[in-house]
Amino acid sequence: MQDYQVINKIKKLESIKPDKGWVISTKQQILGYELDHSKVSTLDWFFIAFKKPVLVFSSVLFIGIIITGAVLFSNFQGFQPEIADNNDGMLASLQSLEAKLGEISLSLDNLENAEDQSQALIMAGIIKSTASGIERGVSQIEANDYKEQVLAVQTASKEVIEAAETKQEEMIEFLINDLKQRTLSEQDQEYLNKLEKDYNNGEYDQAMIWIQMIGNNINNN
Amino acid sequence: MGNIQKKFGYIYDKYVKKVYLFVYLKVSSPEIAEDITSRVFLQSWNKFKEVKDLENPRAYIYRVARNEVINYYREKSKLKIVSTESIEISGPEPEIEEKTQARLEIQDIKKAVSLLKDDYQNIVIWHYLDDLPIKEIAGIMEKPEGTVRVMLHRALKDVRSTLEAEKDH
Repeated sequence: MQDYQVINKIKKLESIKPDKGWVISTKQQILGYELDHSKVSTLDWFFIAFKKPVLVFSSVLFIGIIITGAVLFSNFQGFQPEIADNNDGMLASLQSLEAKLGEISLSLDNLENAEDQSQALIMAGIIKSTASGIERGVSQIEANDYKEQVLAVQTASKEVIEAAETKQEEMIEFLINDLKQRTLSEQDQEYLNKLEKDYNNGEYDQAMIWIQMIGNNINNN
Repeated sequence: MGNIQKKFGYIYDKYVKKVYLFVYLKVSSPEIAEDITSRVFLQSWNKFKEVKDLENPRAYIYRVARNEVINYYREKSKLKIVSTESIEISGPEPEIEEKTQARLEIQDIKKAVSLLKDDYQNIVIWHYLDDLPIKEIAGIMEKPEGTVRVMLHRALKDVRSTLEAEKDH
């Protein structure tokens, strides 16, 4: 067996993860904050959002993706033409992108305090997708001169992706726990089961769809 | 939530899964791994409140984790002596497709890593599962980089031997 084969086998251990509920509850216990008033507001937003027409909810999601994606990707695309004729510019753009990702990462912490939590959850998803796009984009830069900075941007992107995913996890987990305590129709219960399954599989985008489906029913009833 | 809590919350989010895996591979019990990991972060949080920041949180947290695992085995040895060979490999199912073959493979790797000497185990986990560069591992272990490289090489050799022996059975 070659070294790389042994290493590949060892890396499979990464699939072992702690229970998500334990991760969240331990954080709450250590940091000494319980599901207080602000968290109750977190719950409220879902049902406020559900009372709005689905079209509005979907439109907010879609417009959010377009605007955020366009702004961030324009930053990325902006430095592409500079590759050939401006090394300093390229380097500066990559550094700027890394700094922006750092700012985004820090601002993710503020999402849980946002008044409109429906948009906060959506934003977490958008930020994650956009950071993934940036990570993929910079990996296409092959010039050795920028290798170090490209690596820095990729690392920053990964941190943003992880942080955004954690925020999504926390918000969706909280909703699931609340829904479990409610009396739901048979159909909503089925959606909740699917929501939980997708959440446990880390399929947060799909989980958002089930949240919306439950919301539709609450709205229609 | 205060600013300091937010900062530590970010550190927690970033490292909790890695630290859990590090501890779990050493104690082979999800419940004990959860308990030790909780204590690691509680201790780190208390330190963080005291100093208002940590220069290298990852290195600090891993030092605490190592000490907590040592304490756990120290306490345990007071109750009974356990051979590493007899540690039962059990725990949460890995989040992979429910295929028996894949599960068995994970069990074999887990066992092979669990059987490594403590220092070798640390290096393998930090380098291959937590992507820590050799330099940083050398810093945590307070050993020269060259020594860490040699230990990593020997650890890989030991893992390979165990895996190949399992295969022959």
